[in-house]
Amino acid sequence: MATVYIPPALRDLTGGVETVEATGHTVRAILADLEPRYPGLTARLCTDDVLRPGLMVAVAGSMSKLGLRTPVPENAEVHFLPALGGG
Amino acid sequence: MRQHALVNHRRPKNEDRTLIGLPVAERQGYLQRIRTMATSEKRKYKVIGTRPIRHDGVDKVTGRAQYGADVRLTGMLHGVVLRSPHAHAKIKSIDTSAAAALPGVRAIVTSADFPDQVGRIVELGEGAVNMRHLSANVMAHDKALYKGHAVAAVAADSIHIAEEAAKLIKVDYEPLPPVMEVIGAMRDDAPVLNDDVRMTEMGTVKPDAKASNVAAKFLFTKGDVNAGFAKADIIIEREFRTATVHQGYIEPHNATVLWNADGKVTVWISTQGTFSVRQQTAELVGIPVSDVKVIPMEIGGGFGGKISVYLPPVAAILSRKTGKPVQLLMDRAAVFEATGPTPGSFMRVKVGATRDGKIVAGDAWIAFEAGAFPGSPIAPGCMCVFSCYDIPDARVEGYDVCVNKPRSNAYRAPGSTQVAFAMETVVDEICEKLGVDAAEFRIKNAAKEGTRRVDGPVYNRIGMLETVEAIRDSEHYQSKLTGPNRGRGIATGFWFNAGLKSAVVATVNLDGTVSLIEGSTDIGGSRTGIAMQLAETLGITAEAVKPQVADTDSIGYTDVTGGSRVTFATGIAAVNAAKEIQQQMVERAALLWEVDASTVKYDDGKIIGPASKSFTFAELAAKIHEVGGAIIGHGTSSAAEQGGAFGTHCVDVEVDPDTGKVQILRYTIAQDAGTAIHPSYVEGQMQGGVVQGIGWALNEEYFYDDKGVMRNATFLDYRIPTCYDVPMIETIIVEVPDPAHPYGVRGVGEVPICPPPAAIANAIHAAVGVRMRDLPMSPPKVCAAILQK
Amino acid sequence: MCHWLCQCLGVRSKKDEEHWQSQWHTGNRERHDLLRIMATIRQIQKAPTMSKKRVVSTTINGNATEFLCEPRQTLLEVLRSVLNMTGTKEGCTNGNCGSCTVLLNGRPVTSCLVLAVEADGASVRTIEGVACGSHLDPVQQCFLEGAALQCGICTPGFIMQTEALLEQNGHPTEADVRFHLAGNLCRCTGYDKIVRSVLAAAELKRCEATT
Repeated sequence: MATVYIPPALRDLTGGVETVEATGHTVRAILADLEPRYPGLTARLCTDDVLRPGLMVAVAGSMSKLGLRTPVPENAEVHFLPALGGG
Repeated sequence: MRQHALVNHRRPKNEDRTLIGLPVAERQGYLQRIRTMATSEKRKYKVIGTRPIRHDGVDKVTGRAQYGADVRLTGMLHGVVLRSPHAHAKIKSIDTSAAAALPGVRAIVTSADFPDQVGRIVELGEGAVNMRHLSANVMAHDKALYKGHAVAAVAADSIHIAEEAAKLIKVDYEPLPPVMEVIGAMRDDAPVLNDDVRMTEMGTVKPDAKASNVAAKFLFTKGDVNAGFAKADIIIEREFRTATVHQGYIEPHNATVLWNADGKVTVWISTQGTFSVRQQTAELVGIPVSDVKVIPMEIGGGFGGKISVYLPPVAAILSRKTGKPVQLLMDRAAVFEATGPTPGSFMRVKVGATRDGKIVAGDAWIAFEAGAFPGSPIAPGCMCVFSCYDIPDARVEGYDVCVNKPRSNAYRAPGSTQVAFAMETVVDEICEKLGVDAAEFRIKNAAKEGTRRVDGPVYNRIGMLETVEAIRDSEHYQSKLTGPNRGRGIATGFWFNAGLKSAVVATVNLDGTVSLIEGSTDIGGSRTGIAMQLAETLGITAEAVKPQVADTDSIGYTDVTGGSRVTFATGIAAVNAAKEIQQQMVERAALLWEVDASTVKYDDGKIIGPASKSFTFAELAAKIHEVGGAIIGHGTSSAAEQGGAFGTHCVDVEVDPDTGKVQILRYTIAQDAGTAIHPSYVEGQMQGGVVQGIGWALNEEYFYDDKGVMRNATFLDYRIPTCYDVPMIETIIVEVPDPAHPYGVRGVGEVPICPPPAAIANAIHAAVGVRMRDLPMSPPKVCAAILQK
Repeated sequence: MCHWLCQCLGVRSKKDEEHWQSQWHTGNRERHDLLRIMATIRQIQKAPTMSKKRVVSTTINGNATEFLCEPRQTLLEVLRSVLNMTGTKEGCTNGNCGSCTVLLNGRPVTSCLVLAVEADGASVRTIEGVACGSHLDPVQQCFLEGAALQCGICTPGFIMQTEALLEQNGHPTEADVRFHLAGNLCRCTGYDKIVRSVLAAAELKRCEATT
């Protein structure tokens, strides 16, 4: 079971709940698992089957460039965050 | 102490002072001594941690190094960009006929010459960019959105003719009221800059959203912030403002472009990222990326400001129209008025703590000025504000807001310096009210491995605590500061540090040297830092590696030199390339000795076989062609992500109570470098970041008049620190290795700019008892604050 | 001071002229004087009437050099664009960053605020003339050894300014160095390693002089 942190802006979909449990070996599978329970979540995070521009996923504490394909280890945390740049 | 076992404090030793005060007998002896001292420290590695002379050094001290403005091509034309005199205006028409008629004028472009861009979002390696906005920034479409916004460009036989021609271009403007300040721009009745901008939140726009200057909202929460504040014995809530400031690189932007008859475009440019320039240029002129080749010239400073393109697409269209290479160079006023800056900001930070000095809750509200188009570093700002501390309950809300100023760009730890100023000043006030030592308070509340950040993820191994301890234990912090109007302050800062993608290729030469080709443009000596990692892995000297930065046709995709990523990520690529070379060297030795490769091993620059057979690297390199062709190692890095960088600073100031002038008396920086590859250049990054931070703290700001015109677009009036303004900057390199890098490297470039404004504000308070909450803390403001006391 | 320059500066009296003569090529100008000089150079640069070319005879790095230039061209522009000596760098074109520092008759000047025609009969020393053949000058050597450069764009200007300092003062203190180099901007290093390297170069020059 992975723990998915729902960004504050999307908690209207989860009734205000901050973390939800989900199963799946990739971020895509995790979202597929959550969608029936929280309809509309995928559409808010993704567009054209990729993460929306400006979003990034962090799994197990590490920002990933693999988007929906990012592998999710057992019991990992999944966070959806703004993408960052540097100077 | 488990943590201490991993930490090595590299304090400035006498090697740091080798250049002064040595009894020098003669030149050779002198140079010899420097080298010996630099290598006499006991250390884990042979090359890493030494101080070799940088490979590009001789070219740079003799004036031979070729920067972008030094490009000279046969038949080259010179261009000038005409810029808007208004901060906010409709462009009704542009008449170029008089300019075109001037003898020597070869071509003129306006936005009509550029392909239309839909509002497509393109991933440019380090963040997503709206192509319509990028295009409109390069050449204004129907509106000029800031003073200095490009509206047309001329190419002519000489720069003087081009300047004369630009004056002859008639632009009919309808001036609009400028929106110059972030809070005013957020009001419902503020004039709207971009009619296609609506507020997004996590990538989504509300269906009923109107066009607005607020381009994005970010919200982060952790725990229950109200419950957190209920536990607090003391709550401090303060408001802060910071001025728009510029990266201030000494080399203005430049680009020389040839659009050849075969449709292939070559760009010579000083840039932080050749591949990013290639993609931006190709997208903006509407050709495939493979038709653009970007040749990196030496770069005279960037600090984040030389990632976005301004000139290459314009020069490209001028070249297409003329069939000749076109060079565009900005002057300093254009650099200030049209490039760079980092956002001005408004911030409200509230922190609660218990009587025994534990932070229990934090709440921050932050608005950044994005400039003419969306895209300020508000998200990292929000994610950095509480990043140094372990805070159980917190909330951060942030806004990206358009104003009539140049489109803001990355500047050294973008967003983090502003928020560090606010947070670290509030922390200092809590320490004051509670009567606790500022270093001990930070140690008690430090974020460490396992701390959950306010934006969610949990830290891996980081060195926040160690940098504070290094400052607490430093001779500087322990020393007594005496004298009237003098005070000491400390502050801590954080930056994420990026990973991203890098590629290198390394080829073994017959004389035992290795040629190293990399895609990371070198701003501050990174060629040598990468070469040293290759050398360490191969067991050869740094001087035996010959590094070179290659063009986009000659090396694999490499992201920008930014995010403090090059020594980390391109270093990993170099280590991977070295491992491939090791493998091939082993196979060649096996062939030469006629033994099975499994009986040969590579060990510290030697290739060891059965029966005491061995080659040095150079011996084998001389023989590789007897049993095969070139030995080439490739290396890439893409997955590795850095753990984050922290630094803690300590500063002593003296305030002149009559004038408000703040003099820096002494400055010490302790920073976690993971593993310092080339300590001189690590120190250099730390010292340079500190002095930029001092400029931001004390002097630098864009002065705008009521028409939105910048009144100080010269280095005379936009005053960056000179050597007369600052003392020596003492450095303490803390080494908490980053497990994500084979040698433990952490990027060092950005985080040193974050703490100085707060450290200095705290020192000013200690000196004269006033809390400064507006940057810059220039003499008039400090003076006024003292008078109001 | 030539007639048209006096005209551009609005010189009305002998005293005026003496004032501008003293202000024209110095690093220590009053702010209002510098602003006036910046404006004058810009005015001259933008004047099409200043485009008729003249011959200028100079000595550059010890070599007699003649070049053709327009009166509106600065010494910096001529060095870089006519003579292809691009070692002298352009950072601001208004005398505020010091990147374009060269020695004019031994005095450090920002070559962006010197008109090329003013170099007629003068000797000019640039970064290209600092090393002696393939031997680096002690200043260059110490900048290298001391890691006194990062991006390197300001380095030629700093080296020229340092040459001028060490010519005048062989035993500079840290304060002397910081005062003398205050007209040269560096955005990368924080100046620490530059100042140390200049002090080291002074020492190296002294010991070279005694051997």
